[in-house]
Formats: sequence, structure tokens, C-alpha cells
Amino acid sequence: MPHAILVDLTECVGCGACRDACQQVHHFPQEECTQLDAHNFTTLRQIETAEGEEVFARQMCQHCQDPACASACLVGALEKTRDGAVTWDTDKCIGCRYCMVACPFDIPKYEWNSNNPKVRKCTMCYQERHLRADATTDSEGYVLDRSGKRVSIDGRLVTGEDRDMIVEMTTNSESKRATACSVACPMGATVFGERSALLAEAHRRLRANPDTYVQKVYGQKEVGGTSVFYLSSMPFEKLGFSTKVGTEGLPDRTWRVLEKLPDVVLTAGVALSAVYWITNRREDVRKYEEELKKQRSQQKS
Amino acid sequence: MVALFVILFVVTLLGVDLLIQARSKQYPIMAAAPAGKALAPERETLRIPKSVFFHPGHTWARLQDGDSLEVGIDDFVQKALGGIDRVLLPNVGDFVRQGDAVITVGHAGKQLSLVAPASGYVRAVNRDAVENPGMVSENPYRDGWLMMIEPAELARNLSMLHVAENAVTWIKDEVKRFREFLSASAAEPALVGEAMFDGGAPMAGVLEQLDDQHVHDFEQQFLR
Amino acid sequence: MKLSLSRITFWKATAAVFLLGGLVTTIIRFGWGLGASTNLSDMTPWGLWIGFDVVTGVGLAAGGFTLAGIVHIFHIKRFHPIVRPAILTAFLGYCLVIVGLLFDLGRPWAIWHALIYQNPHSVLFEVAMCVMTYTAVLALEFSPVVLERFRLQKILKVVKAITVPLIILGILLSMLHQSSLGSLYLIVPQKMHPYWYSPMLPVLFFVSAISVGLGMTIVESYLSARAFQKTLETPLLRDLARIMIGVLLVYFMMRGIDLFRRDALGYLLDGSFETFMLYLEVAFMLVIPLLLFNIRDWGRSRQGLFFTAFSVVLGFITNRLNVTMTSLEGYYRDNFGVSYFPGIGELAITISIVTVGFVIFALAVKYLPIFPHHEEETVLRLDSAPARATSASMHPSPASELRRH
Ligand code: SF4
Ligand code: SF4
Repeated sequence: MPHAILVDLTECVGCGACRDACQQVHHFPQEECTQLDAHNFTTLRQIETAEGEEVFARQMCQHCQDPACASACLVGALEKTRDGAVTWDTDKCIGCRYCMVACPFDIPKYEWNSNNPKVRKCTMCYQERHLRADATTDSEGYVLDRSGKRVSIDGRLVTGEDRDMIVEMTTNSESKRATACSVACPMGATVFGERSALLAEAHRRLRANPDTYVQKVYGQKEVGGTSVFYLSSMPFEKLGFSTKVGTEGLPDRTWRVLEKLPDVVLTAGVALSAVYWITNRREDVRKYEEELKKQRSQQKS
Repeated sequence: MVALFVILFVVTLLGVDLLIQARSKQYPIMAAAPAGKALAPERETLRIPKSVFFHPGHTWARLQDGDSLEVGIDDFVQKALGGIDRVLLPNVGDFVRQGDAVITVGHAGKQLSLVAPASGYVRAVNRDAVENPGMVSENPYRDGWLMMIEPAELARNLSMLHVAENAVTWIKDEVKRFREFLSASAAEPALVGEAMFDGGAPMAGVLEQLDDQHVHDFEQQFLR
Repeated sequence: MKLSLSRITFWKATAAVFLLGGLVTTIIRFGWGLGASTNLSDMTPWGLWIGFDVVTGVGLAAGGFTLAGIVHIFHIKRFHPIVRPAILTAFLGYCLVIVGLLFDLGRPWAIWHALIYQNPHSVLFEVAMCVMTYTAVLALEFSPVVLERFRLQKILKVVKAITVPLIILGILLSMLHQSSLGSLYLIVPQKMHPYWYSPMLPVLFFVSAISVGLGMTIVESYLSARAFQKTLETPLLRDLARIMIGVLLVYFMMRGIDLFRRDALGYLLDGSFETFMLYLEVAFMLVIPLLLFNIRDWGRSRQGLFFTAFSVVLGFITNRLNVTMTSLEGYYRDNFGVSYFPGIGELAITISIVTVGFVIFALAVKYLPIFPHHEEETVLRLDSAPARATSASMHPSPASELRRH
């Protein structure tokens, strides 16, 4: 069942609770931040409107339906899960950073100063949401999964204490597991839920308050659809949202070429062999004829 | 910006290289003087390839694929002339006889006719060399070949030619003989110029400074 | 030849300085990571190492498959003597690309993951596979040279028997990855300047790679002529240059049609930096070579052909760097207000890699039968006594000294 996040910017007061929760649940340093980086999966940009009003624009990974990052990654370290989240696998990545280049929203960030650097971006709390509250711990206090192996998130082993914190932070008022940011948001500006339900809810809000919102669900059509939706009272380009990304899934562009390659190889292979055969044969014939000519002239003399 | 920087960097390296090169005057690349002259490297040496057969008239022949002869003029004539800017060759299909004067080369108004090193039908001529005679002086034994001959009496012809150590001894003798020839001509120093008195390269382009009579003498004494 | 001593010493010293810089950077790079050694950032994740060492480098090594194809598949045997130097450069080039890649990858030790965690939807995966396989193929194509040198006749026979399939495989692999280097950028249409983003990128990359492969072969041949008197005949190089120009004309026709069809020609007079870079590309890759090639004395002399080919190489470098960097500069500026310029360390590594390439090529030409067997010849010295100051002081040799090459 694919999940999604709906962010209603008209309800956001810029308190930064989502950001703080995100930092906490991922064990990042608690700090103010203005830009995404390896230790900040989400930011709040403050924008002043012409009328002097303040608007806060949350930024995070869009969890594209057909993610460019995942299609770009040569080892398939990034993956669009059935859950809706686009996740990243530490063990596979070779650090080429093509995902960073490919992402239309410039989301993935890198641990530039590490000698074993990781690609970091919002994971929609994928592992955190799937960490079971009743997971047992071993004698040293580390959480075990069903097969009895120690659980690690992003290469860090989870202790019983961690488990409790994570579970608490990712369980919402309806006792459902949700992203830490949506649980933390005091205004309900960020909600986590089923993708189709959230989309319907977004459109319901647009219809109910046509004067409040610009009539657009950002993320519904962008790059072929994403799993993070935004509603706003201001045109999105004024909020720094990328509006030039188009509505076509970007991986299609490369796939259109890649899918032709087997045919190209086959055709070219046959053509090259044919050319080789013809020119080779011509060479043989030429040699043979020369031989013949020589023999004849010898016979004459 | 990066692209621009990289290009500028590479161009700078090339520029520095050309500059050093120009100062050491090894190959005067930038002197876009008339082809033949500017491109002749190492004027003060004579090359004698091992696998080339020399006719006493300073043409050479090289066996190719067993059934044809590559023919050209040697380094000696080319140096003596000071380069080549004119090449005249027989037609494809002509029959040439060993010792017949069938090749004409010239430089700076002076002309020399040279003999075929072997007998046979002309199968091909080097059009590039005719159009761009500078090639002959640049490398008389490779790019500067003049024609291909289908040999008619190969064994007999070859016995007349110098090869390997013989060729080296012969060329050395020729150089000596040429110096004597020059000092004889130098009875009239005004005609010859100072080139050969200074003990420097006594060869390069010396013929340029001789009058037509002496060039004719040279042809008779050295190229036949 | 002793005259050139000063020049060679100069370049040796320069190379040593570059290599030293490279060494220091290597230590920083692997000791403290990419952040310490490069100017790369979260906004500009790819820089000089990918743009030049990899994307440009692979293109510059395209001579191998081009020449192998011309000679072994199309049977234009005239060019046979060029195949070896071309394959050598290609092999060397690919090895250096891989070295460059090891510097750039965040986790170079995991490079082999490409073999096991395959993502067939990734262009980069395809490039990686092709580059790996093709490097192996090149090693095999090049192996006869080494085998000949050490007279390993039996293995030589085996390798020679599979030459043709090997070469066809090599061409197919090259077709795939040369074009795919262009396809890499198909996924960022909105980030690139319309001059360089085109659905045709793969085709354009492939065609221009062919032309620069030929160009590089001419350049190498000239350089090795200068250094070792080992070289190819000028008319042969001229024919090669002629094919190169032909391919270039085709390339620019395609390029023009492509720009026209995407309505990108409208920017040509906007006076922007991008436009200037496009003009630079066209000047180096098309205008200058065409002019040089058709000037009589230049188009026929070794030096003239060298400059013709060198200009094409420069144009090609400009093109690849334009695609990989210039075209993205506007996006970076508008969206993050940053611009990327390689750090000193990045420059040092790139220059070092190129220098190492030169050195290995030089050694190979010297010790392996790369260029056609050189005829032995005697060189007779004619200059005697201390006349002409320059030459005499360099050659204090007696008259008619014999010197053997
Ligand atoms: S926004 Fe970028 S990083 Fe997130 S899923 Fe889409 S392509 Fe991947
Ligand atoms: S940096 Fe890692 S995750 Fe990103 S594309 Fe490369 S291998 Fe995949």
C-alpha cells in the first residue's frame, strides 16, 4: 500500500518541529539549517510575500513515483519501495554520485568529509516505521529482528532505548506508524497516509477553499507523479519550487535509448560481420585473380 | 568556465612547447617558408638506409612485395640542391631503362636530371610528391618515393647497385669527390660563395651557388 | 637531437612538478576524503574528474576501435601501421579513465559492485559494463605487441585467431558506451542549456568520438615522430585526416539540424558565456581544421596535419566539457548561486593522470614494437670543424663520423 506525505503550506507556522524530529529520529546533530545536507533531510525556507506575510516552504525528497535517482544508480542502491518511500542501501553504493546529478530536485546529499561517505536523503522514515515495537533485544541490549539478527539502521545498530524512542516518534495520534515529521507537526500541516487518500484530501481542500489555495497539488504530476504533495496559497515558483521539471518521468528519457540498444547491437553486429565478409571475400578474389594472371603470363613466356 | 580554463591551459602548454622549440631551432615549425626548404631537418647529415640499393647516379631502388621496385632520389642530391621544389617523372606505362635519364628534379631555378636505377615498366608515380615536392626533401626514402617499377631484368640491374656497407663506402667517396669538385670550381670563388671554405656543412644547397655550367658538370660527373 | 635536450628537460621538470602535486593530492584524497581534496559540493556533485578524466578521456581513446574497424573490418589495409599505436592509446586511455574513476568514486573499493548489483535501467551501469569489458578486449587486442616482443608464438597464434570477432566485439562495445556517455545526461533535461541538451546526445557523442579518435592518432604519431623518429608516413596521416574531416562534417550537419529542430539557434546572438563556448567549440572542431587542412603546405606537411588534428582534439575537449560543465553552470547559478571551479588538487590529479599517460606511451613506443619496424640506417655526419656556431658546438665531432640509429 503506497504511502505519501501531504504538506499544506497554508497551515505551516514555521515552528520547525518537523525538522527537529527528523534530526532526532535519525541521530543527527540538532541544529538550525537553511539547506539540505547529509545531516538535514528537511528544511524550512522562509519567504516573505509582497504583502509582508511570511510563508514557510518545507523541502524534502519528493519520493518520486518513477525516481530519477533510482533509475540512475548503477548498482540499484536506491529503490522505490512498494511502501512508497525511496530508500538507499548503504552496502551497495559505490559513491558515483550520479543519483545526485540525476535528481530533478537536487535532493540526495553526500558526506563529503568522510572516508566512507554515504549518500543521504529523506527515507520517509522507512526503516523507522518498520521497526517493530515488540522487537526483542539480546543480552547486550541490541534489537533483534525475526531471524535473530541485530537490526541496524543506516549502519548503526539499534539499541532497546533507540527502539523505544523511534517507535514513539513514529506513531501518530491514531496509533498508526507515520513519519517522525508528520507526528511532530503540531498544526497538522504535514500529514502522512495512504497516497490515494491524501491526494483525494488535497483536492477536497482545493475545492473547499478555492480562494485560499492556488489550484495545484504540487507533486501530483511533477516528473510523472511523486509521493509528497504540497498545497500553497502562493504560486509555487515564488516559493522556490522547481516548476520546470515537467510531467514526464525522467527515467523514460534514458530508457527510450537503453531499450533500443539490444536492437542496435544486433543490427550493427550483423552489419559489421557482413562488411567483414564482403571485404574479405573481395580481397581473396583479388589475390586469386592476380595469381591467375601471373600463371598465364608465365605460360606465355 | 572550467571548459575555458582547460582549453586555455592546453593551448598555453602547446605555446610554451612551440616557443622552446623555436628557440632550440630544432624544427622550424613556425617558419612557414616555402615547403621544401623549411621542412628539411638535419641538413648536415646524410642518411643511408640499409635496405636500399643505390645507383651510382644517386637514385635508389627498394624491393617491394617481391615483384615491384620503389624508386627515388637519394639524400645526397637532395642536400646538394638544398631542397626540391620541382619534380618531373615519366608517365605510368612507360618503359625505362637502367641508366636512362628519366627523372628531373629542381630547386631554386637549378635543374638536374637523374637516371632510372633499374629497367622496367613504370607502374605508378607518386603524385603527392609531384604536387608537393617538399616531401622529397623531407624524407627521400619513404614519403618522398617517386615511382614504382615492374622490374624487367632485376638480377642484372641489382648487380650494378650499391647496398649496405658498400653503399656507405661509396657515399663517403662521393662526398670526398664532391668536395674536390667544389674546390676545383672554387678557382672562381665568386661563383661558389664562402659556404665551402668555412669548413661547415659543405653540401647543403651548395649547387644553388654554382653557375649553370658547373651544375651541368656536376650532373655529368655525379649523376650518370 | 642533442639540441632538443633543453626542451625535453623542461618538460621532464614540469612533469615532475605535476606528478608531485598529484602525489600530495592522492594522499589527501584517500586520507581525508573528497571534501578535503576537491571543490565538489552537494550542489555540484560532478566536477573535473568526471567531466575530463572520464567523459572526455573515454572519447579521446576512441582511436582504438575506429582504426581497428577501418583496417580489420573494412579492409582498408593501407592504415594497418596505425592500428597498433591507436590501440595502445585506447588501452592506456581506458586504464587511466579507470584510475581517474577510482579517485572520483566515494567508495572506490566497492567498484566491483557494478558486476553483482546490476541495474539494467541505469545508463551508468551500461557504461560501466562496457568500459570494463572493452578494457579487457583492448588488452587482448594489444597483447600481440607484448607477445611478439617476448616471442610467445603459441599464445600469439591463439590471439590472432580470434582477432576478428574480438574487433567486432570491441566496436559494438565502443558504440554502446561512447554513445551512452552522452545518454548519461539525458536524465537532466531541465538542468542543461539547450545548446547541449538534446535527445540526440548519444548519437552526437558517438560520431564525435570517431572523429577525435582519428585526430588523436595523428597527434600521437606526430609526437612520437618528434621524440623517437618513430612515425607513420605523411600521406597516410593525410588520408586519416581526410576521413576525420569527413566525419566532422557529418557531425556538424547533425548538430546544426538538431539545434535548429529544438529552436536552440535563437540564442546564438545573445552574447552569453554559453554562446561564446559554443562558438569556441565550432571554431576548434570545424573551422580551424577545415582551414588548416586546405592550406596547401599545411595540409600536406606533418606539422600542418598535427595542428589540424590537435585543433579537433581541443574542440572535442571543449565539447565534452561544455556538455558536462558549461551547460550546467547556468542552473547552478540560478538555483544555488554557486559556481564550480576545480580545486588545485583536482587539477593536480587530472594533470598527473595525463602526464602518466604520456610517460607510459613514450615507454611503450620505445620498448615495444608499436610503430612499423623502423628501417636501420646509417647517418653520415658532414659537418666538420667549428663553423656554424649552433650546430658545431653541439656536435664537436670530427668529419664524417658514423652514427648508427
Ligand atoms: S526527489 Fe530526487 S531523491 Fe527523491 S525520489 Fe525523487 S529523484 Fe529520488
Ligand atoms: S552514489 Fe551510490 S546511490 Fe548514488 S547513484 Fe552512485 S552508487 Fe547509486
